Amino acid sequence: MSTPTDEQLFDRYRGGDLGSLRTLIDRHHDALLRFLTRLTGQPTFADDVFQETFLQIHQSSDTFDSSRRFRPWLFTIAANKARDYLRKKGRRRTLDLSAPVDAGRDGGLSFVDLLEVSIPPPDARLESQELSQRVQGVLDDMPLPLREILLLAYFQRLSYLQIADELEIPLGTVKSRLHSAVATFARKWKLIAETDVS
Amino acid sequence: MIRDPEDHPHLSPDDARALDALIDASFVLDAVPTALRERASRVASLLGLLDAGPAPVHETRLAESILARIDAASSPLELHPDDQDALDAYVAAGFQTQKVAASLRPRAQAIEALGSLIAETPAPAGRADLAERTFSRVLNAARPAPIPIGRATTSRFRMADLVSVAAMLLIGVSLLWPMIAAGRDRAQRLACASNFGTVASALGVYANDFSDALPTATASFGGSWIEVGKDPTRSNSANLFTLARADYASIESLTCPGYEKACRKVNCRKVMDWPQLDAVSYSYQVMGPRPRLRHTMDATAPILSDRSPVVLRAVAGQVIYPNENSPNHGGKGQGVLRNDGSLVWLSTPHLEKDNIWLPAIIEQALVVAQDQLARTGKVQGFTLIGNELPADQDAFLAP
Repeated sequence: MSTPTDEQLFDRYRGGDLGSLRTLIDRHHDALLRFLTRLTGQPTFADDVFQETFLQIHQSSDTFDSSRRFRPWLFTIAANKARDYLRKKGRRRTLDLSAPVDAGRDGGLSFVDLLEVSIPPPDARLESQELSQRVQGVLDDMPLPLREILLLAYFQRLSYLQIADELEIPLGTVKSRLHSAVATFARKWKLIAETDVS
Repeated sequence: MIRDPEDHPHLSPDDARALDALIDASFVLDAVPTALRERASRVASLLGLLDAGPAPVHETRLAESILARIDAASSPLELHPDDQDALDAYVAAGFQTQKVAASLRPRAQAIEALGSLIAETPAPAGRADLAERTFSRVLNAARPAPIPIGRATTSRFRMADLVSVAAMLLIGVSLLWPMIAAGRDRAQRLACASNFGTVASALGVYANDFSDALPTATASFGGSWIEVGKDPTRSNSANLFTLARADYASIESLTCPGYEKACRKVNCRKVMDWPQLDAVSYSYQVMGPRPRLRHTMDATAPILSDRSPVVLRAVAGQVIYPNENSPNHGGKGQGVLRNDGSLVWLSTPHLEKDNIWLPAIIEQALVVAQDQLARTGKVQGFTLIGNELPADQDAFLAP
């Protein structure tokens, strides 16, 4: 007995099988909630946006192109909903003057070398709530467009072309934005790690 | 520690302008426009408190520090060129480091480790009923909006106006009535579908707890499954009731909103079954001597449906109509929950040629009596007495 794909389930749902939507909700519950918690920085926000996302899925079901994949569509809608939600809630990023100023700039450009960034091994981090909170802190401190593309890329594992397609932004922008997002996350993570050591 | 951005106080607009001007002027007060100079001087003095060094060099060091910080925040960080290549190669390889060229692999592995830090570390899992609440919201959105009832006004109407309005209302209602009725039916079907979704989840949890078995009231089955409320060790409805009795589902979720006479008040702690046949809303796959295991059934095998009309007629001693639909939704069809958790709406009681109200043995007998059925639309001499059991992979739903 083969498990129906997301696209098959969504097709059934559009044909009137409401139980298929329930299966889709259950199937994507954990990953989508984790993605939204990372993106919004607040479990309660993630909870609200999760519901808004599936409501939007229902309302836009007629527009879904069944030749495309369901999961990227779901996550892109979730990212859009999260952005709207954060805007409504008036969450804005401010410069934290208490953070250490980064040194080591080179000719106006600041290069981040990932081989110099210390990352804990998987067995040391899976159960660490404290570590998770630190990661969240770093993400919260990043500009939303960078945070969004970083999370979409890692949670979705899409090619640049697919990301460009889903987000409807130029391919070059996707590339440079993801580069910048990885660099920003790595730099901030490195700063936190160094602060902890000192 | 990174603080919540909401925690930051904000400068007044005038002070903010003064600070900007001071920074633009590299902390040289004389270069600040006159109108802002006094305020800029106060800002400089305040900031000077933060610096530990002697007074004469405060401003320059602080300005450098602030400018560096602003610069760092406003100009994008760049990945090391080798890391850029590694990231591109990693994405192009479908996020699989082993497919990245060996020269770039260590950097791709660093990128992967960074990503897993984000994606794999535990994040709060949300409240347990989030999926249920989300599903309910979608169902509510799918229901027709209630017709708004306006507030009474204080304006006075003449009798002629009232008569005109009443006439218009009558015409409007007569035109709209089919739509309103259809909307109500649809709302009931959606609410019923929501019940099936809840039961699907409950069946999944039950199966997980009991080695993949479907709910059964007793292990030793025998006798008539048709005797609802008389002998809970034998009635098939008692098997379904097990979900409520063992707290896997509420009695409300086992009650069809489209069936007004359904029993909604049952003390699940004290009884093992619904009190009588007409209190039961749904029909359940008839169990054999042993509990059925879900993995031995087809994914599309029906498990639950709106109540069977065939059993109702059989118990009342009437002739059965094999093609009759469930009475739950006005005889228009029936919802059916399948083994894979999907829900289908059937406008006839046939699922891939299998009549869900009848065991295979009677269906085979009906084929023989096809001529009689074609002539009269009904079959004399066939009924259910409660000892029929489904064949292997045979759909047979009854209370």
